[in-house]
Amino acid sequence: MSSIVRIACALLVIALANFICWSPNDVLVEHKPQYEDTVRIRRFERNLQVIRPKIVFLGNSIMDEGVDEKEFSKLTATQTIKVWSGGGASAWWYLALKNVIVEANYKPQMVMLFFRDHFLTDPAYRVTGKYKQIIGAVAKKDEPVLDRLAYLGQMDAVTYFMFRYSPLYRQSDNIKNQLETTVKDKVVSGLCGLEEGMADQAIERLFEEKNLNKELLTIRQLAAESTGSSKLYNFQQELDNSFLPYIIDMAKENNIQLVFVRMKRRRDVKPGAQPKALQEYIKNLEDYLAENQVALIDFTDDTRIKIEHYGSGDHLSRSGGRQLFTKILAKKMLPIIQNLDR
Amino acid sequence: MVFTSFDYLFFFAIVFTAYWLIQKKSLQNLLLLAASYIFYGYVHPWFCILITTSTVVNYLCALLMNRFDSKRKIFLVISLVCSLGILGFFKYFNFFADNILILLNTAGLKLHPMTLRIFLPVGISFYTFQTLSYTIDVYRGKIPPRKNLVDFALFVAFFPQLVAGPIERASRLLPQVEKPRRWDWEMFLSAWPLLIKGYLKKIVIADNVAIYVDKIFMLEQPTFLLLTAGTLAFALQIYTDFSAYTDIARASAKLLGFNLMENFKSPYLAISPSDFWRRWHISLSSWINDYLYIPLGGSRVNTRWKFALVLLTSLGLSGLWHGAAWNFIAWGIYHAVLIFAYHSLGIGGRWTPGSRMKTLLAWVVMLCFTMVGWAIFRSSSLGWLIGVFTQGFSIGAGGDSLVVSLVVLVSVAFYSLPLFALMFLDRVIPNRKFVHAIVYSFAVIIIMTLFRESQQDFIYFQF
Repeated sequence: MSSIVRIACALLVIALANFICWSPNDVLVEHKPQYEDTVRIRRFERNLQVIRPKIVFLGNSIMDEGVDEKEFSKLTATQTIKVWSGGGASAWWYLALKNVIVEANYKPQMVMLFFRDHFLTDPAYRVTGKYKQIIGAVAKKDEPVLDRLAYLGQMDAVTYFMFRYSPLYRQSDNIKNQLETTVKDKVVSGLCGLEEGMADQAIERLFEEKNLNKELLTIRQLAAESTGSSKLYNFQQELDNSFLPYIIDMAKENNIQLVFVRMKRRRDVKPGAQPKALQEYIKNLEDYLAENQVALIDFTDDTRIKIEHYGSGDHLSRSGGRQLFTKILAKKMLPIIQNLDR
Repeated sequence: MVFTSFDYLFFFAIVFTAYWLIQKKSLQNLLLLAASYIFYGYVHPWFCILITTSTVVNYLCALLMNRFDSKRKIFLVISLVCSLGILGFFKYFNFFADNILILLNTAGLKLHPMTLRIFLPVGISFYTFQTLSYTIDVYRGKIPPRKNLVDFALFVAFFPQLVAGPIERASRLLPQVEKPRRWDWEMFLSAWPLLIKGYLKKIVIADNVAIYVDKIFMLEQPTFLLLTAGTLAFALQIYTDFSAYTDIARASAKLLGFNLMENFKSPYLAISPSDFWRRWHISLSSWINDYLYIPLGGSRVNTRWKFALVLLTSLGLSGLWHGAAWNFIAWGIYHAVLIFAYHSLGIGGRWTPGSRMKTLLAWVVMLCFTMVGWAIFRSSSLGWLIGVFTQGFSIGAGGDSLVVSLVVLVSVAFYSLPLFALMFLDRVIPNRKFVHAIVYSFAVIIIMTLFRESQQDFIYFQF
């Protein structure tokens, strides 16, 4: 029995120390941006004010690599700018629309949101780890919808309890980050005579998608997507806990015409590669958007986009794929844009 | 259900409470059996059909062996065909189908890939070997067949060790299932350090090291230096991951009054390949030894070449047991070659070096051999590994590879610290209970801080 008492006493002392060192506060989810990300956001805000575009392209690197906005502007005679972040997903798009586009003094007439598969109704996709910083750059101090959908709503009761009442548990990501930073910026940089952040850059460069084994990457991506995909592809069930209704309502309230653009994935070059459940999901998404008078343009079955038009992963290549897609997109959008002017 | 989920913690708390409230052994066993099936079929209920089939077939075969003595062999064959048939179909169908297809395509017969892909049920290799050991032991007359189906089914499906071992022998576990179990404070208290160690190894070490390992082995063409760093990290990951599972399994079993066997004895301190197999995944290596290596003649065969063949068969199959891929088979064969080479040099079996210096040298050499083995084991294909070796010892353009290798090596060293702390506690100051209490309390706090439900699965789940 005595060893149990000893362990219990030691645990108690350490638990008290934990609460003294990290006193609990009311802020459950903190949004801390990195300086570079904040600079990018300020640039988007400035572009909106200076260029005063009619259309804003909203998306991530898939959109940035795939569309040439200057060419598109020329082809459609419409001023267009991009607002994007590498790795951004629905949480980032929601925040960018709310805090960058809607809050600007000048509002565009149209926002075209570029997405893949079920990303629009997956609020927790790319919101943790390194993505937390890009989220932090577009988030304000208080973001109740973001916190609920992307973080707190994803926790089970026990995790939420731990998160709410154990300051140490809440700090665990920060503690891990600090440890990793110490290893990279103090130990390794010290050994190699590098400046702060250079070890991180070396890691980023070395593990770039282009250096990864394509076959393994595809297997892994598909496996990751198929894990729990039956749940993720259930549109009706996922809709209420997603940013999609908020994005649509916000656009309506601010007289912004929304157009959703579904990008073709490398997988879809092979006919019939799209999972059946996903096809059903897209049908439901289409119906929902139609009910809300929002257009959906789906390039998944567009046979003009071929495997040779892809660069790394689902990104279209800058040489070839980008020009082709910009042309196809401009042609498709022209009647909608002309309608916008009437 | 996974040990590192809140679901498991709740599940275990309920089972533990109900189990000790019931005093009657038969009801306790029934409860444990029901719990084991819930545990196993939690995500895919159809897994239970497979384990039930395996249980019933082996149960009946063993009874019939006893009933019809002259036809013992027939029932043993039925049991082997059924058990290995299920294992072969679910584990190796895709592998053989793919390889036959490649072979036929090479021969000029153009065939399309099969659309049927078989989903591997977790733990199938573990419980198949466990049931096989039972029928073989009954056939050999080492143990009597069991009449109580509940007891036997519990032996096959006992949830703490069902998914990733240790692979228990019927002669060890069945008597524990059959005898009444009383609450024992000693047993209860001895479970906690194991439980804490297990969670610490998995959550703090294995899952964090895995991030680097996965990245390096995903690279199209890493440098030799990076492969070395990745392999060292993998050596730490696979040991902490797998031994963590064993620790948690043994601790859970202890809390229910069962003693499961040890599966690891500091494997990286091995001084020869035979020594390594006496320390690594002991329950599998002793199984291979008792049911394959010794029956084939072991080291007592009359020629060296027969001995080599016995080694290749035993360890090649041991490699194949790990997974249906050529790199696992190559890993097994690599160890067979090592054992044969050591044996040929007169340093095989239970050889011990004469001096400390020699021991140190033997340990360093064996550690290097073990690392090469892990590189084979973890690589995505043998071609990939050969590609890395043949490109030479360059550090890569721009020095990124060197920097990242250092980051990985420093991280490995950092994450190894808790392991050394635990070793220090157990070996150097085993009697300083208060120090143990403080260290384990810190470990609990660290585990609680880093515990996340979205952790990686245990590596041995895939086997």
